[in-house]
Amino acid sequence: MGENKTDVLRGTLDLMVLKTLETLGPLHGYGIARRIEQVSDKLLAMNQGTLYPALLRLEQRGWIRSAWGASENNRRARFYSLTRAGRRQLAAEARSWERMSAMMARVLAGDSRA
Amino acid sequence: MPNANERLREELQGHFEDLVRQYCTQGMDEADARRAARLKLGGADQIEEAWRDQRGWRWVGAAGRDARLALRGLRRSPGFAAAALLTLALGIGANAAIFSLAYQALLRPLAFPGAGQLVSLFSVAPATGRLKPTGPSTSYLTILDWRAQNRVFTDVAAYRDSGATLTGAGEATVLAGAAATPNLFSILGVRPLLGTAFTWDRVQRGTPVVVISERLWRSRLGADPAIIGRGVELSGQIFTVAGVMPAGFRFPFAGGGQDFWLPATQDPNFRDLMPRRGGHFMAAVARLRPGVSLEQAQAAMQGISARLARAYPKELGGWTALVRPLRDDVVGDARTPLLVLLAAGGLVLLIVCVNLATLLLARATLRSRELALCAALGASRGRLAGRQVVESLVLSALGGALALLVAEPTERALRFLLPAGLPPATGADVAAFGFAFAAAVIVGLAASLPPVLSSSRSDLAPALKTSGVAAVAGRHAGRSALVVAELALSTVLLIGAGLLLRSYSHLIATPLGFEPAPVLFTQIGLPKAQYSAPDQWTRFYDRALEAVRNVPGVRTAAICLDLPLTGGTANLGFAVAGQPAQPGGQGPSADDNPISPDYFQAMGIPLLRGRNFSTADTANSPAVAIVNQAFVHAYFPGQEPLGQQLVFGFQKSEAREIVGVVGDAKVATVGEAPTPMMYTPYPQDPWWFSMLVVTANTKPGALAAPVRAALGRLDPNLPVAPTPLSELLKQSLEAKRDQALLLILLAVVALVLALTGVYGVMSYSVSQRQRELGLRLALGASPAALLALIGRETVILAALGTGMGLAAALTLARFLAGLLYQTSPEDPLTFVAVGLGLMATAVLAALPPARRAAGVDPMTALRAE
Repeated sequence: MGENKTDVLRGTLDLMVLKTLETLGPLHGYGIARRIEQVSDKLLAMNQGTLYPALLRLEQRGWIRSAWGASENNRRARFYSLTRAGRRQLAAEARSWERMSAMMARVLAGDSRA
Repeated sequence: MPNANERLREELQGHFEDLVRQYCTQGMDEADARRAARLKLGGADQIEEAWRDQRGWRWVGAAGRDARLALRGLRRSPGFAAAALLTLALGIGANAAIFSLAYQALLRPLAFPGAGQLVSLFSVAPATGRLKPTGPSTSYLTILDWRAQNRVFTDVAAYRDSGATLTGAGEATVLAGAAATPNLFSILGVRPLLGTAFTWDRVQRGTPVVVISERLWRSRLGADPAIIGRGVELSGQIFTVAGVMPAGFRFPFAGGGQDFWLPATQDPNFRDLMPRRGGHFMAAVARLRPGVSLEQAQAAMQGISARLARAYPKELGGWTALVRPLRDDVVGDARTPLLVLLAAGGLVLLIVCVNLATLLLARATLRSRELALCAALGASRGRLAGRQVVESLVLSALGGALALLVAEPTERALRFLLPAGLPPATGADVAAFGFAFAAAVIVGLAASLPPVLSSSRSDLAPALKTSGVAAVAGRHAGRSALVVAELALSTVLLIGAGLLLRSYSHLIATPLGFEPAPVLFTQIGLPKAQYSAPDQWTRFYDRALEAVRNVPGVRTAAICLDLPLTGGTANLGFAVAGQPAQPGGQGPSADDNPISPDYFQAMGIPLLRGRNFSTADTANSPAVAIVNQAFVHAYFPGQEPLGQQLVFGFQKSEAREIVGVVGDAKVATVGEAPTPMMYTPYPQDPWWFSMLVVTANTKPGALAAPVRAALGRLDPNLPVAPTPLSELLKQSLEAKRDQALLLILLAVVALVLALTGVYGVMSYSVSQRQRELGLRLALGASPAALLALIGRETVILAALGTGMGLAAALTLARFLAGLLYQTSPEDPLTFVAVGLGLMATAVLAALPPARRAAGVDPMTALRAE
């Protein structure tokens, strides 16, 4: 992924969106935004509107797809869902995060064995 | 695009309302909730902008990745890459060269400022069938009248080719030049390098002035910076240099360029002809007034001509004016061949597309498993198609780059096709590059269609499972279409090339009507300053002939005016004595050719009837004439020409009795029909200009020096350059040969492409049926039966393809008719040869893969993939 802050943020956001969709199933933009806020414990404060270009990017990459549907309030809303490619991407990202945090843990602990 | 933004706005709106409801539920009042929601959502403009940016990046990102993948793929299959790139380089390269030539000849404006506004004016006489405008066709006085009476041109100038001998500056040399009215340069918009050129009043005052070329100034006058005002001696007369034209300036276009321009009224060659309203020997160029169209100018000039014809019925009755863009004069001859070449080039491009599509299709089916996997894992059909397109584009971009390497030397080698008058173009490289680029893109897109269509139309899943014969048959149609298309296109192209080849072979085998081999010739132009009276001309030629005959090794020496293959003719109107005279322009006309008695013998032209001229035919004996067969067919069909009297003459129009008939000799160029000609004894029809013709007992070339010496003893200042006539013949054939060569080159390219294409397509088509064949074998068919099956189907396809091609060629060949010599556009030999040849190639190409497929173990075939 990228080196600068925006890219890290973008990548993190992408991951969170994918995870949200995996956990909750197909969801509209508002729902995704709400869930991310809840889960990140308000740490990831952002303008919720910036979610939409990110959703577009994910769609362009082929990791999610979208379709019109009816929300709980019976309004027309665009629902996003995970594709198989997206599922694979999520799994791959999750693995790489795990590996990275395990490595960081070892480094920070100053393990004499390393 | 508007739909996508609509979608975003709708989503944002919905999101906003959800947020408002959320805050209201949490206890805020309506107004606060709305404000909070707006804050939370963020600025709509920023969001929309970020959204739009993201949309834009989609293509770039994906395309870049696909391109890198495509390059890697090419490196892994060098055979495929080589075949594809070679096809592209050859096809596009040849086309870029042709297109560049066509661009220079047809599209690029002439090198003068505002050249689009320049027109040529001609006089034509519709009643006599003289409709085709040819070079100088109007009298000086008429052009002056056109200039005075019109309101559609800013100015009108008269001009024509001229010649003079430069003396007093080293060796006497013949120079080519032009005679023109003083406004020629201002009309063309070209200013002299030095000096001020002509002005009307300076010319009127009578001081002889001349404008010279930069080439002459540099090579013979030492590039003297004080040249203006100096005198140069032309044909024995001193002219003051009034200006030097810039290097490369040339007008009129034909020929090798001019070294001098004289005011028309001061050129000794034509000075005396100026007052003759009936002499059609000047050409005219004019500049259209801004806002005036060609049609308007044409109408106006026709009106003026009608007025003039009424005022001068004898000289101008029946004549009218024709206005044509100046460009047509330059391009004229080359237009048809170039258009044919462009069409041929287009066909070659099509063949390249089909070849490339075949290669890509073959490759795609090899990778069909990989593609199916991609699709199964979620890649959309659009993405796959996009990837195919990018692959083709990458390939054709590389091919296009290679093509440029091929195009440059090809174009340089083919430059001879351009009419000699055009200066080399500066923008041609850009044009060629642009064309190659555009062609590469088009070819890439077109060639990627079949693979894209075949991969998106068919369900990719069956490629992974076993499939029956039926499923495979669906793709059969596409492959068959390719075979048919390849064969049809190749047929058309090869037939075109074949026809032109036959035409050329007829051309070089044509009898000329005379024996060119042992003949030496030289131009003799007597300068008016020293030889002003017609009897001086006659006396000079008498002495010249005698002097040359005394040179050892000379068999015959003769003179004439129009020498075959030199293109110069003097066309005069004539009347048959006893028939009522018709006003000028409406009567018959033929070429007048004053000769000496030995001329026919020297040229090997047979005397068919009556008698030849002799030394007894002098200026004082009864006026006689001899005509050729073409003349008899045209004007005395079925009648007895001997004894008839023709009234014509250049210096003096008088009645001449026809005393003989001779065979026809080719006039201007090989491949032209002979024109009616009237021969006269030169003492009875004197010209200051003539051609001396010498035949030798040995090689004519060896006589050049002694002949020149003999003539030099008569007049040391007279430049003569004895040349073997075979040189002229070679040049005349060269032009036609060059055209033929170009088309042969294109045909060879087409043949190579066609053969490899047909082979590739058949090969691919048959190998694709391995599964089906295996199935048949397993079901009990014998290998022989399989071969027969494939053979039968191949023959049907080949017949269909070549049949379509032959039909198309029959309709299109008509356009070639103008270029063909003694060859019919429906020449059966060519059609049959090409048709059978291509069919044979197609069937032969199908054999190896068919045999392989038929010999394969059925279980292997079924398991294959």
